[in-house]
Amino acid sequence: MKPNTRTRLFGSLRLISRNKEALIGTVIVVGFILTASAVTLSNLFGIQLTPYNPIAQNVGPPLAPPSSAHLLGTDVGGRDVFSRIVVATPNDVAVSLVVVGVALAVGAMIGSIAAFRGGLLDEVLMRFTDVIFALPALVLAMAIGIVLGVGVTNMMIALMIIWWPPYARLARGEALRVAHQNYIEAARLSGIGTMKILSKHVLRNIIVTMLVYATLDIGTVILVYSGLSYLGLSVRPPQPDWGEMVSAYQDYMLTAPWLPIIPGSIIAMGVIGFSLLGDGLRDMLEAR
Amino acid sequence: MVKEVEPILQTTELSKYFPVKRGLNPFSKSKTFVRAVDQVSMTMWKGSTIAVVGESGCGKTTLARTIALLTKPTNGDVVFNGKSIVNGKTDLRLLYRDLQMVFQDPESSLDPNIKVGNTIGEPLEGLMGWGKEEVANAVEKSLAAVGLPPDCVDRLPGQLSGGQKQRVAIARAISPQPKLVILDEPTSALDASVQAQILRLLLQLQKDYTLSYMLITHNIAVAEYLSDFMAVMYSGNIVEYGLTEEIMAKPRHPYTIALIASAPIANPWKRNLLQVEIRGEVPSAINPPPGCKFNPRCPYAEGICTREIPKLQEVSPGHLVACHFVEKTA
Amino acid sequence: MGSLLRIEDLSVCYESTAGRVTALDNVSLDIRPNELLAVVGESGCGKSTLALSIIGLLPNPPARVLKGEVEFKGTNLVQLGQSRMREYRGTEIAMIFQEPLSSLNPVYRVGDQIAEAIMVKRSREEGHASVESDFMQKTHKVGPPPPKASRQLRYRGRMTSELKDKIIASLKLVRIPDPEQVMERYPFELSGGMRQRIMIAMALSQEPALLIADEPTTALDVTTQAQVLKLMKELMDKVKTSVLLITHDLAVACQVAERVAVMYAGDVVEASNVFDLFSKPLHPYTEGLLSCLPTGSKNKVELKPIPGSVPDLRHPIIGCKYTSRCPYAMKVCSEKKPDFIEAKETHEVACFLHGERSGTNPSNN
Repeated sequence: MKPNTRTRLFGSLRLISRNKEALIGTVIVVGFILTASAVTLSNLFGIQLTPYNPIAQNVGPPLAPPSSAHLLGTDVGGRDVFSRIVVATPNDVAVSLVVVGVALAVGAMIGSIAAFRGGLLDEVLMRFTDVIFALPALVLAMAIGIVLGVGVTNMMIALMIIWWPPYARLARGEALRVAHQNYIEAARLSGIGTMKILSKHVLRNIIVTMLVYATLDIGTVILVYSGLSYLGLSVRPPQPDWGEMVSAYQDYMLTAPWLPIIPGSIIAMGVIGFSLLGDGLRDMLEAR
Repeated sequence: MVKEVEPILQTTELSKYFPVKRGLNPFSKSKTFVRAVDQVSMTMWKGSTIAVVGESGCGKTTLARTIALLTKPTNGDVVFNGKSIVNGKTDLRLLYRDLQMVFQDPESSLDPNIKVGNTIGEPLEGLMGWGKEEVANAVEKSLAAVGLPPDCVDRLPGQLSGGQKQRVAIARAISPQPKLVILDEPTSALDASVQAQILRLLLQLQKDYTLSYMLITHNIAVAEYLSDFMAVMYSGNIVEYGLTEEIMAKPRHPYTIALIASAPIANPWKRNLLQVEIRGEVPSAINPPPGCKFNPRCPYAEGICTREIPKLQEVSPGHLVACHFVEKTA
Repeated sequence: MGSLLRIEDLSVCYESTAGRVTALDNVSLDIRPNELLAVVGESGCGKSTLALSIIGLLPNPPARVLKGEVEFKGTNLVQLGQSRMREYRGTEIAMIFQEPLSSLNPVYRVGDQIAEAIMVKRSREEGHASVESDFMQKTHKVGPPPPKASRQLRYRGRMTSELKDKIIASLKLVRIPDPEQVMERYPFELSGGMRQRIMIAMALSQEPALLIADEPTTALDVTTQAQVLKLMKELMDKVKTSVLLITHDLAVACQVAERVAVMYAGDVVEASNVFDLFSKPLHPYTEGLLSCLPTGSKNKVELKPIPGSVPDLRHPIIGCKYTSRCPYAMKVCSEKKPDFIEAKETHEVACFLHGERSGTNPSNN
């Protein structure tokens, strides 16, 4: 690693460790991502990572409370809840990261081009952004569910279509601020073309604010996706998914309360983890 | 003083008007304009420094940016090195090899994420198309010329002081070895001791590289020190133009008189500031007063001043003043 | 020699994760009644910290007063708590800042804001120790609450003509044209020069004994600066106020000040009347500063910039802070810090080149 990058990375790690909330957030996020990666890899190689087969029925007595044999208990079909939770991790993690990643990239491009070109192009791009922004997530997702069918990938597509407008607006605002900086004019005086100015100077200077927003936003995607999954638009049982599990288990609230509470808590933890990380990131950058 | 009598840059009736949009319709054509630069004609001589002085809103920065074609002129002509550059066919890459600019705020002049060496080399890459080695050599020379140590190449702007940042900006501007450098308030954001260092550096560079400078400033002391010629701007117009020495000794336009009188002199026995009699404020750019824009504040204003904008006329060889009653200040 | 304000051995530091910066290092200064003292220095010298320390507006978490006194009319202001300090702030000691747009509340008309200043003064005159207000600090309630009538006067619709006349009078005092119109305007509708003049009007309406002006004209045009400074000087005499003018511009100080104090890296290095400072500067920094001001054409004047740069205040420095840039540096300069002593009549300096004026104070060297 180049010395400059190394110092900055260690500096960041030091800063994170000072801020307790950011530390908790990072731990949670890293835990989620590692779990998701592990599960995906194990799927690729056909290895079973979890103690029990997540979709196999009756691997234990039905509706058993958490015990040493079944860490999070079993559901009405005798399936191990812990295994199901673990195996469902890549869904939420992948969807949220991909959706936010795509929104960030698309938004940054649209926003910065609009800001720099100005005039008619700016108007057209921003009004288009407004139109997409007006589309409601749930309704669109349901429409896609009807047309293309349900499933994790389709829900991811639905969210990708409507998630980018706030990023475009943010990027445009930031790009406008940067556009007035003298180093942009100096770049023009150096014979650098507009597109190169955008990639060399503008993107690097707006990406920081956008990343902070994106990190905080990941939690929101998790929540919305879980909502879609709860409505049955994502996986089909017996495939596990946190939102779907909340929906399936909610009737057992009084008899086997761990069933609905656990997947709900995991979703909440995911949201909290990314939010804390995002807050920490913002504090770190403001301190700079 | 002036080494050659060849002009390096000439503007003829150069104007830049900004449309004022009213209402929400983005497609409506504006009827009102801000006349930021209003029919400015002036000449810059090779190897010399001209100071364009004025207060906020006078249009000096817009003038600089229009001359550098960073913004498109509305009307008028700019002739640089004998060729007109406003016809829209000018190859900017060639133009900027000879015409460069140093900006006011050292903080925003440099991209905070790009190393100093790369910033200084940017014009060489973009304008000359040089390879990495050639650029590195030239950057090393530029750093030495502005008095910065060679290890600055790998530093980021955040690690430099204001004065050092300004030196980097100057190094960047002179790296393509231009003929004319526009300096937009180069020392306004700097402390007095740093300002002195930068002013001395600018003089040295001018000698070593035979540069012509266009100095934009509101600081009369700096203008007097650095420049050979002076153009005083008020609300988009040049109101006085001539040799700096002559204007400082005997300003003729009522605004110039007030401006010079208001500049604080570092001498407690010459308390000019408390004698200044100027009333009113800089006029609105959208709704300027009719006729001579200075007339509401001018102690000599009479009838014609509210009807006609005065043209620049010679009061002595090379000394031009735009005033209907210039004889009153003789 | 009765001084209005006496600062003695004041030390203030800022603490951050990057370390501790000593912004003021054993600073001593005094201000006499009815004089304009200019404190001149470059960025980072501590002049703004000095101003904020006097008026008790130092940002409390990072800033800390380590030691020293600020004696105003017999009371040590440093030791007063916030509530007692409020009795002085805005009334006996007023302050105006560099950027008037952030000093004036943007959502209230200018006339209302001046009215408030007047109301505070009236409340104090009537013996009420407090006035409830939105944007001047709340003071501790002592005694019966102010009568209802004085509160109604603030609101535009029910403003009495007496109050309106007072507002117009204070606007006229600062030479604002069309005061009836201007008092109905919002701050953003006015120019920088007018806003600053309104700030002066508000500050002086209290008839404070001391007005602290922190770079009041730095953000203004040259001609506006001249108008504002001239106004300040004239009003000083009328209202019998002392002015502490903070500025980076030595030329401005030469134009309006009776006495000047020069600061460098947290120390006051020289203080004297303006004529002596200019003609016979004692401290090498003052000398350097004067010779790096452009005062004529490049063909006639040679600028002598001060080599080097201001030291990093995060690292404690032994000895005189100017040593690394001083053309007269001696061995003792990097070993001990020179005391701030009276080297000549009313001319104080902190430099080993100049000894104590014989017969006055015992030498501490």
